[in-house]
Amino acid sequence: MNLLEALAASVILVISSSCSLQLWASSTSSAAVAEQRQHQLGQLEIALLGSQARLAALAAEPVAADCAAAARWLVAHLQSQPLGAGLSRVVSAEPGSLVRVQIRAPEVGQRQRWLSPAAYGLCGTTEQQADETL
Amino acid sequence: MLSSLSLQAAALQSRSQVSAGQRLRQAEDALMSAAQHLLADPLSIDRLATRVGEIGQVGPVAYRLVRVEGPSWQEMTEAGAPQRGRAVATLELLPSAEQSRPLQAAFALDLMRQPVPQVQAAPQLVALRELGLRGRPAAVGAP
Repeated sequence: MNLLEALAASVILVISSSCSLQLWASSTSSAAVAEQRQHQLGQLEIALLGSQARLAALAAEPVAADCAAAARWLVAHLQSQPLGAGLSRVVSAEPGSLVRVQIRAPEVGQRQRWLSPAAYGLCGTTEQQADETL
Repeated sequence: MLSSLSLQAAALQSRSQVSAGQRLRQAEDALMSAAQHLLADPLSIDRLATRVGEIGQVGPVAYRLVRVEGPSWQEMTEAGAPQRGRAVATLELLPSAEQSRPLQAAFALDLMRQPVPQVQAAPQLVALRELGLRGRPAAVGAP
């Protein structure tokens, strides 16, 4: 092997190593971003299902006399529930006695669901009102 | 070099899996919202079967009630105890710009009604649970 061949081999080795290192760095960075996104998606899921689970936990115990009032009560109730760090939540009463829950995470966007107090038996005469009528 | 390329391919694959998961979760949200919208009127529970084929819209979600099975009721209950029953409603998302395939999901409706001698004999919906999206078992319970 003469000097020229040795130099060419060295240049190829240097270029190849440099490319490889760059690809490694890029892959590691992508993996970290993907992991962060996955974590935030998980947090979104937990927050959204948590709101729905609150309704399920209250099931069959009416909170207001009619569904519109139950929806207003639910808005305040869900808004007061704890929320994971880095997330934001908007809960609003919507037409048709529905409650809209939107949870946002800064890097992965948002998820939303419409929830109905009637689907969990939360509309109707409350026990307190029933007692008052007796 | 080859191992770096392989890592890059794995990262790309992981990214596409995350996007697919996001689309699936959005479809689940849309179907659950549709079910909640369908059942927002407590007076319509015992007339649900007559609404098969009905099209509804909640926010950007358009859906159709495909099928209603039941309700079936417990035969034996303790004296004075409410009778429990169950119906299953199947909903379909109508195709949209984001979702070209019509997705379906079944929902279990847990019902309750007071024994006949009492005044309130109409069935009351007490819970709604997703049974699965296109055969995929749903996450059960709260986190």
